[in-house]
Amino acid sequence: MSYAFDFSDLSQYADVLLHGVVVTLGLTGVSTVLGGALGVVGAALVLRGPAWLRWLIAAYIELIRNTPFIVQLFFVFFGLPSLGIQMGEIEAALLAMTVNLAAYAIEIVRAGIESVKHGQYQAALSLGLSGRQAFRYVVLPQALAAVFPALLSQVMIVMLGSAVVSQISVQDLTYAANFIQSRNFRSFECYIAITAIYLVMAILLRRLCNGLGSGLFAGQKR
Amino acid sequence: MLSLPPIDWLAPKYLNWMLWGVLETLFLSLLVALAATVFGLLLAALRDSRRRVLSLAALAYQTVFRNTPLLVQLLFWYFGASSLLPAQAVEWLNTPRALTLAAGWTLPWPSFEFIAGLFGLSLYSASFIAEEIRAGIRGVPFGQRQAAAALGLSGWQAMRWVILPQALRIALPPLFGQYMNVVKNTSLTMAIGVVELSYTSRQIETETLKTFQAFGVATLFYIAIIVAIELVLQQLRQGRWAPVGVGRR
Repeated sequence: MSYAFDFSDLSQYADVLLHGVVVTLGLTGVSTVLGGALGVVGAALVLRGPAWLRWLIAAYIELIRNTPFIVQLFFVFFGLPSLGIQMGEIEAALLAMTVNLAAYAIEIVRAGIESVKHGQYQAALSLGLSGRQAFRYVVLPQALAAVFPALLSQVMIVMLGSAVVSQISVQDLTYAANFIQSRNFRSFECYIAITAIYLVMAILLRRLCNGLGSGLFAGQKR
Repeated sequence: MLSLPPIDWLAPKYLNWMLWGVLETLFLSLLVALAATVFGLLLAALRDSRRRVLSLAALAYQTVFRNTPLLVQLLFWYFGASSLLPAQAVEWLNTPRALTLAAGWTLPWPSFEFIAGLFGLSLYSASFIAEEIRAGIRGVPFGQRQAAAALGLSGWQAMRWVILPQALRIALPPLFGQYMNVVKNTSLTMAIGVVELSYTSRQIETETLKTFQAFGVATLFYIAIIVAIELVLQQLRQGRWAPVGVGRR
């Protein structure tokens, strides 16, 4: 094999790569917060809401979980403007990622809430907490502590899946890779470098969130 | 009064395109599922190998493939790895050709995009499937292994005839979950130019500007495929067709 590897060329694209990392992490962060919040609200509604709403949420979850993310992204990016809703590619990516994560998060949080023993809720009521307070201060913290690892893996899946948004020209890390390799023609080195960056990001983020989780839920270990 | 525009269906020509896309998605998914299951079994065996080098190598493989985006992996195999191949090999891979079978039947040779997609998806999916198989094997009580040994079966025989059939039965639902993921993941091969369902729906959208119809039909097809896989799983679990005793209790 006569191929001469040359990674040195990549250093001049450091700012492009950095921009990509920031966009990827930013998209992941925002969609995690929004999707996670929707997950909690959705799970509460699935368990307590009116029948028609439960049915609607169940349909939404099935629709999202059984179709590829790229089709969902195209729906948002190409479909919504034809209904008169204009948005840029970053907003479209954020919306698609949030809608996607929320569907999985509802299922995960619902399982967590169901895993909390009913006696906890009754005990909270007998202590004089309202139903809402019992849910917010007694049931939910235990539920979230129980499903934190599952939620974290889902967030990691969303982060890795966010590479797809480069297809609607969001300038994330994968877009940066495509950009650089179209300039310097060193596609092998370029994709190896990007793969390594994603790998490091995924491992560090997992570590960080695990640490954060054990701090947050320190009192909830069951 | 809100008046909705009349629904403008896709012309039959485009539905025909879409059907070809579905066939490509099904074909690619089937090949990936087969290849990834075989390779996943091998990876699972390596992970549980007593030789530390082998199990560490398998662990490293899984860490890399599970923690990087599938899209980047596909781009890597298509653009990156192909730049390492000698020029003649790339030219050979890119030349359209047909395999001539007996009695005048010809089989079109798959495109380089298809081969890169198949390769990348299989390597990726195997890293997940290996974990489901390992979990299945761990789910078989240890006494089964001892009983097999007491009956005079060798380690390999015990694995083949006693452990693995039971492990596969346990691992069947998560394995099928992975096959559903494979179907959804084939959509990413559109980025390297495989003409599957997502690719054709995007193409139709570009040509007709009927965004909702194009992606809507694609969505329905994906859901139909996933539902079909779910039905196969239920049949298998009820032991209707039990080729290797997977479903029997």
